[in-house]
Amino acid sequence: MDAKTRRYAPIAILLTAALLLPGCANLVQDTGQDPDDGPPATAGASLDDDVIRTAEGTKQLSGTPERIVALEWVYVSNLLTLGIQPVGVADVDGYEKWVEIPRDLDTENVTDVGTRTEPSMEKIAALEPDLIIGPSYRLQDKASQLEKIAPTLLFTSYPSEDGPRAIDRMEDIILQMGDAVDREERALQAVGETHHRFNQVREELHAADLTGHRVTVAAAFTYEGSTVMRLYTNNSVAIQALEQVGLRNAWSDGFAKWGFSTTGLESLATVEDSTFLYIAHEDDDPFAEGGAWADNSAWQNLTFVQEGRVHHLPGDTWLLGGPLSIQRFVQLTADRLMTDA
Amino acid sequence: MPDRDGSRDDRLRATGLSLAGLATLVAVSAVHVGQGAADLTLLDVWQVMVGTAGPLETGLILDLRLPRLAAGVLAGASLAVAGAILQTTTRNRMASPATLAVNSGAYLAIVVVALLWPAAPLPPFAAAFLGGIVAAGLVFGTGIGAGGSPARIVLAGVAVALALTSITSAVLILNDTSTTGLHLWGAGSLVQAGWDRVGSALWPALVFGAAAVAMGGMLDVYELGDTAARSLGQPVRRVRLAAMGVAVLLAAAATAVVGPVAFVGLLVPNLVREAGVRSHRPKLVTSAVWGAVILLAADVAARAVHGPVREMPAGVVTAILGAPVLAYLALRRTRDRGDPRAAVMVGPGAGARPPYRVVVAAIPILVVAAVVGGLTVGVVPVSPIEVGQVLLGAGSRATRFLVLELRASRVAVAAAAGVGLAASGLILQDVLRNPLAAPATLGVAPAAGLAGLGAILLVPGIGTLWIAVAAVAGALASLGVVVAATWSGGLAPERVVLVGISVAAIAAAASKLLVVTADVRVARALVWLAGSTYGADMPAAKLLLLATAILAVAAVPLLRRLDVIGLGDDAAGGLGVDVLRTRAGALILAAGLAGLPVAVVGPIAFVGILAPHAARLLAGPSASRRAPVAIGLGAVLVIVADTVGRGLLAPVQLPVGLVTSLVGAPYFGFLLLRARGGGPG
Repeated sequence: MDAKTRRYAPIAILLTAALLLPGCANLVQDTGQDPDDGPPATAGASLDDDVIRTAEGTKQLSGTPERIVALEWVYVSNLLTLGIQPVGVADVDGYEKWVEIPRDLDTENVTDVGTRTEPSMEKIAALEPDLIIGPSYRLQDKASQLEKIAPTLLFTSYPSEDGPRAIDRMEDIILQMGDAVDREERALQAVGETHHRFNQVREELHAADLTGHRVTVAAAFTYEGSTVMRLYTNNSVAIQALEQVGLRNAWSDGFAKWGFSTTGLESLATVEDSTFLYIAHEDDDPFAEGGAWADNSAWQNLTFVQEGRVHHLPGDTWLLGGPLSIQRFVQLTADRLMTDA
Repeated sequence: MPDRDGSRDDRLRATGLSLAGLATLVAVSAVHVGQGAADLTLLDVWQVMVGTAGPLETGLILDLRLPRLAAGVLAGASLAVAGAILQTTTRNRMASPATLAVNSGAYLAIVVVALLWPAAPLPPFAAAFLGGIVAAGLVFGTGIGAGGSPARIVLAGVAVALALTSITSAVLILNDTSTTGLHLWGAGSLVQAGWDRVGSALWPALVFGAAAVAMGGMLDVYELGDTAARSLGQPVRRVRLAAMGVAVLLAAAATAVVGPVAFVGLLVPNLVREAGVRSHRPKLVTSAVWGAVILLAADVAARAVHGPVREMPAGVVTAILGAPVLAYLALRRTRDRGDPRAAVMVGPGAGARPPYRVVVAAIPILVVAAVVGGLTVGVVPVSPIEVGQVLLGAGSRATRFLVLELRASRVAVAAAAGVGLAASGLILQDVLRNPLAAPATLGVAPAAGLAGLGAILLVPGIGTLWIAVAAVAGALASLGVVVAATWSGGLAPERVVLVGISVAAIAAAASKLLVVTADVRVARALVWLAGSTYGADMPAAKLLLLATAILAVAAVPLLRRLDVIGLGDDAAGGLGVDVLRTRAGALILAAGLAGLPVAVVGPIAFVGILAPHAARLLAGPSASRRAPVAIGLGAVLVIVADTVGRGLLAPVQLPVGLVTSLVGAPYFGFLLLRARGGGPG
């Protein structure tokens, strides 16, 4: 009996291994490079009609999709920019709360497909979409299942440290999406308008002698009962956009994967000579009167508070979005700065 | 009564320790105050004190750094005193606010109040206190009290803490605006923006701390034992209740200020006792001082390693440092209470059980019903008839896709996970002779989770298969550690359980560390860490089913041998069974059976405890007879939990691990209640 067991267990383990190993071929996705980077993006548009560059590699698409499901808010705003209403969106309420652009989502006719972390496969399938667009860093394991529902494009807005610039990636994504939905013209137009807007703002700021002005960009909200503050870093789209219009980031914390550092009030002491721009909802503003941090004497004695160089941007200024959100942010920032000058 | 010379020695020792502690506290505080994102030195602090510093420096020191320092001192001292009291009143050196779930209860209450009634007139301390009382009530209300063995109390505490943490996670998931997965405060962070929190908890901490010290004499008497104390005229019950109330209040004060911090309340009183301080008044004072030192030191270490800009919660450091100490304490116990031969759970006799044949026939029917139910429920309604049609090969393309691809993969993975976890729990309970042993509490599941998470972070774009391999390796490693540490004691049940809990704590802390130093790659793991079938697709489901089946089959001959061992080690040896090898082989299989599900769905708790128990009630204590019933029930439990999680709040999905905790915890409490009279272990 004893000898039998001693043979049993190793055999069982060997059998398991033998059966699992062939599965290796199907399941290992190691491409040998950071998948966040994808194939290198080229500046400008090299638009091959049916070949889309995604985080997973290139993809062939045929036909013109009409029923599109977007699983992260940046893709929703990009679709609206291209003139398309998605049929399904992850977290509609969240989108309405945190993202504001000059194109409205048709909330009457769009279906909420669940949270952005775990969108419901069933809801998506029930919509019978012909294209699904989502973030690769969350959904890469679901890619094969999503493909069974509809052709799926997975992008990432967060390139690695030695990858392309975040702002170039942002433009590339909307260009690729334009390709995918046969709205290449609109995509090019959106990108062109963004550059045009940046040029305009740069001139306005130059005229107001604000070129080279140092700013700190933050977002603040309450979570788990505590105040959370994010300071945007040089590798974020927001900061790179501001650099395009001649402003400089005072916050230096190196490379942050998501484009911001989550940090405490004390960090503001290192940037107090800059102008402080923060995004918060009016009912959740820690810096406004009555807010969680407003009474703090450290906050009150920061130079930018003392000298009135604090500006509040609306809570629905979304810094992790596409060209229209970034244009809005840059314009609001410039407007605020020029009231100071 | 300690003799006068003894107590004088005690006091001398305590005084020496306290003074040393105060000196250390001053030194650590000096370093602590100097840490932070802004460039401030001790010279600046001095200038602030004498009033010659600028307004910004004054603000930074007075309103940011000093509150943080005060928070560390207040929380550290309160937790240490609370731990000391709990250890005395439960006569259990492993007791502490964290291991008895007080911290989890306090934190849950704070989160719930903050989310549902943000404008509530309640100070945070009040909510924390209520939560802590409820949690302590749950742990002790199951009747364990001071009579149960240390292992059982700690396990009850771990289980309740798991359940409460799950509820907290559920609440946060449903209100999540941030998808980067940062839960800093939930990990125990000292960061303060002003004096609000410290201010609200200061008076309760001082008052109840003083009360605790005043009770020192009573606790000395109490420590002599219930009978001795009563004979000296002490109202033992009332003293116990009052003392525990004070302990919970202190722990609630600490949690209200810094969130749940583990191990300070465990470590410090034990270290003070090791240093030779016995009587309570000096012990509590010394513990308070050193508690503050330890927590501040953890915060200093965290910021020294991780930098002052991005927050590293001190609670993670205390957990990583404290868990091995828990293991050490577990191993130092020389006395093993209880008869190792006795079967632990007394179930109904053979006459009270349904006939085995009926049970074995009913199980597959239940499983089929659960599967059909799982395939029926979802966002899009599908009737059982349509499910039947699909299974028979008919039905529309859309329905077939829905049922066979989307739902079937999740149901299949749930079933396989249930089988694996139940089988693993069955083996663990049998080998370790402990009804409360399970993959989750023995660290197998958290270690597997940590290994998988590590794999995802180390190798970008790693395939699902290799995550599975890593997870199983993690499970084996953790079980190996547990076995190695208790081998010399013959794998004594109590020690194994306690070491396992330490491993679980280390793994959980390390996972938290990895998540907190957040990275985009972590986003992929967050869903999986919650214990969710969301990531399952058909290839993964098939592999898991196959691998689980293979391991389960390999376990069959072992089960008979385990039955023989149940007669007693010597008897088994006499019958030709190699006890140690059988146990070792069984444990390896148990690790594999638990590691595989974790690889695919992340950690799922309670199944490994509940399914084997329910099987015992239905089929008796024999492992080989129980096995098919246990795995069937395990599959049913996880399938139903997954179904409920998917269907209850659609399209928002609750992870199956959460649902099993929410459902499993009350049943677990019921089990503990029943086991109360049921013998040692």
